[in-house]
Amino acid sequence: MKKFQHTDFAAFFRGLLKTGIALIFSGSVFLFTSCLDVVPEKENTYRENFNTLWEIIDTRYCFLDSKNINWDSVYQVYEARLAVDTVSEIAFFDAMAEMLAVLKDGHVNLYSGFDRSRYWKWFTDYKPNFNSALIYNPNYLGTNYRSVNGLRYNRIAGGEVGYLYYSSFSDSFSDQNMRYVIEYFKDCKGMIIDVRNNGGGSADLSAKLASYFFLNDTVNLYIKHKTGPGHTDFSDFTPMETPAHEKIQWKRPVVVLSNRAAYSATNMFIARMKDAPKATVIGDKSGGGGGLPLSNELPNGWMVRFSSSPMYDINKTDIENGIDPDIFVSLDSADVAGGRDSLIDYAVGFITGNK
Amino acid sequence: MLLKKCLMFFAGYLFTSIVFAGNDLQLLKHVEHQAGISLVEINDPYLSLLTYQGTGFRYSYVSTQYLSPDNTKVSFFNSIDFASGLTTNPASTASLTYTGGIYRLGLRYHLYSFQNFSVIAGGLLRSDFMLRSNSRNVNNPVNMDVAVGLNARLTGKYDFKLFKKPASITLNVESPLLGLMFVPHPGLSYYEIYLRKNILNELHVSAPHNKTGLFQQLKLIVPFKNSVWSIGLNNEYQKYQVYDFVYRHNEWSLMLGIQYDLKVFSGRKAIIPDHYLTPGL
Repeated sequence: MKKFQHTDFAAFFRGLLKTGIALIFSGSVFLFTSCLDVVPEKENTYRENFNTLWEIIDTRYCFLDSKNINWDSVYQVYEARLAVDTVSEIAFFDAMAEMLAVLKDGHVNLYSGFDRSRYWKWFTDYKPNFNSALIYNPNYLGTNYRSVNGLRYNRIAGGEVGYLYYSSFSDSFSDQNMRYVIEYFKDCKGMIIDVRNNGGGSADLSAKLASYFFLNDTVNLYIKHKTGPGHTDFSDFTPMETPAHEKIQWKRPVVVLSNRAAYSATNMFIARMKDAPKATVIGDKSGGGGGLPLSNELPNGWMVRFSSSPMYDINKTDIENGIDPDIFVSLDSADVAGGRDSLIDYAVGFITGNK
Repeated sequence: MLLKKCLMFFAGYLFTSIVFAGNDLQLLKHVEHQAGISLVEINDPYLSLLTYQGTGFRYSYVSTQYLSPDNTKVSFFNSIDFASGLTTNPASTASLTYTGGIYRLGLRYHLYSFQNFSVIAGGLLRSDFMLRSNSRNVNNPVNMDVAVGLNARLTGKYDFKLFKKPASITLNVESPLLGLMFVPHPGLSYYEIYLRKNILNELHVSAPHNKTGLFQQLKLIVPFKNSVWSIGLNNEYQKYQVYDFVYRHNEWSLMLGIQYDLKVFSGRKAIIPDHYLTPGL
C-alpha cells in the first residue's frame, strides 16, 4: 500500500483555506441578524412559568376587556404568593389553576402530567334542566331508538314529532346519516333537536347540522382575532355563514332544546338556529363559550388552552355568556318524578299545537 | 390515487435522471442524489413559545448543467430537497413534527478559475413549503411555512489530488435577498383564514430587515471507478420576524451523496468520462 503523501493533506487544507473566501461572505450575512429580535429562551423555573402563563393570557386571551378583568392586579396577587405556591409542583399547579379561574371561562384549561384545570361554574351554578335518564323513557327515545354517529332519534308523541338527541359535536355524522333521519321523520309535523348537555366539539359540525334548516346561505355569526398584544387589539368582523344544504332540507318546524350545559360549538349551533326560518329555541340560556380556543405551552411543558378569537351573533353581540332561548322553560321536578321531561313535552305541544 | 400517480411520476423522473444523466444528448448534465440525517432546532411561535429540538432526515436531488458545450462560464441548476423530522419541547411533554421541501432553480456565472481554485456566483429562485404539526394543540395544531424568493449563492471549489485521485472540496453559501412569505398572526386560526377566504392578508414581503438565512454546504467529492461520491455537512438556517414573533429553523445535516450513471457505467472496468467529474456544484 502506498504511503499517504504529505502533499495530499496539505492540498486538502489549502482547499479548505481557499474556500474560506465564502466564509467572509457568510459572516457578513450575520450583520443583518441584528435587525431581528433574539429568540427568547425560557428557563424552566416556577417564576418563569408563572410569568409565561400570565403573559400568554395578557397578550392572547380575548375577553379581558369585555369581562372587565384587571389582569395586572391578578399578577400582583399571585406573584406575591409565589413563595408559598411553589412548595411543590402540585401546589404550583393548583395556584395557577386558581389564577386562571379568575377568567371564568370554560375554554381555559391548564394541562399538566397529572391534572387538567377547569372552570365549570358556567353550568354548575344553574339548574341543569336535563336528566339524561329521562330521555330514554318509553315516551321519548325508549330502548328501540335509532342511533348513528352520535345521532339518537325516534318518533314520539304518537309519531307526530321527530326527536333527535345529539350529545356531542365531536361525533362526526354524514349527510347520508341526516338524510335517513329526515326520511324517518317525513310524516312528522315537526322535529325536536335536543342539544342539552352537549359540551361542544367541532365548529364545522355545528354549521353542518344547522345547514339542513336553512333555505339560503345566511350570515348569522361573526368572528374576530387578536392582531396585537393589547387587550383591545382585534381585527374587523369576519362573517361566518351557515350554508344552506343544497339537497337535504327540513322545511317544517324545528325546536332546539337548550340548557346551561350547552357550550362552545353547541352555543354556536344555537346562535345559528335562532336565525333559522322555522326554528324556535326552548329551554334555558346556553352556557356560552363564545371564544375559539387556541393553545400554547409553558417552559415546564404544561399546555394552556385559552379563548383567542371572540365570536358574535347576528347583532354583533358576543356570545361568550350564552344565548337566551326564545321561550324559557324549566324542568319541573314533579314532571321528573313522573318520568316526564318538561322541555320535551313543551316542545311537542309547541309543534303539534296541543299545549 | 393522486398520491400514487405523483409518486410514480417522481420515481420515473428520478430513474430517468439517473439513467440518462450521461447520455450523448446530456453530456453536460450532472445529477447528484444526497441523503443524510439532521439535528434540528425549531421556533414556531404559532405553535409554541418554546424551542423544539430533535432529529430528522433530508434528501436532496441536485442537477447542474452548463449552458452549452461551448460555454462553460454559465450553468443552470435545479434542486429539490425533502426534509422531515421529529422534535420535542425541552420538557419532552409534546412533539412537533415537520415535513417539507425546498425547490431551487438558478443560474450561475463561473467567475474565475486559477490554480485549481474556482469561484462561482449567481442567483436562484427558491420556494419553500413546510408543514409543522403539534398534535397536542387545540385549533392550532398545524402551521405552514410557505415562501418564495430570490436568493444569492456563492461557491468556492478547490481541486486537488487525493491518493492520486482527482478530488474536490466545495463550499456553497446561499442567502435570501427578497421574497414573499406566508405568516399568519399567532392569534389567527386557520379556521378563520378559511372563513375569510383571503390568504393575501397573511402574505408578507421578506427582505433582510425581517428575514435572514444561510444555507451552507461543505462537501468533499471523490470519484471512484463507477461512481462519484460525496460527503458533506449542510446547515440550513432561517430566521424571520413578523408581528414581533421570531420564527427560526436551524438544521445541521450530515449528507452522503452519489452520482451514478447506470447507462454509461457498465461493469467494473468502465472508465469515468472526464465530463462526469462533477464541478461540485
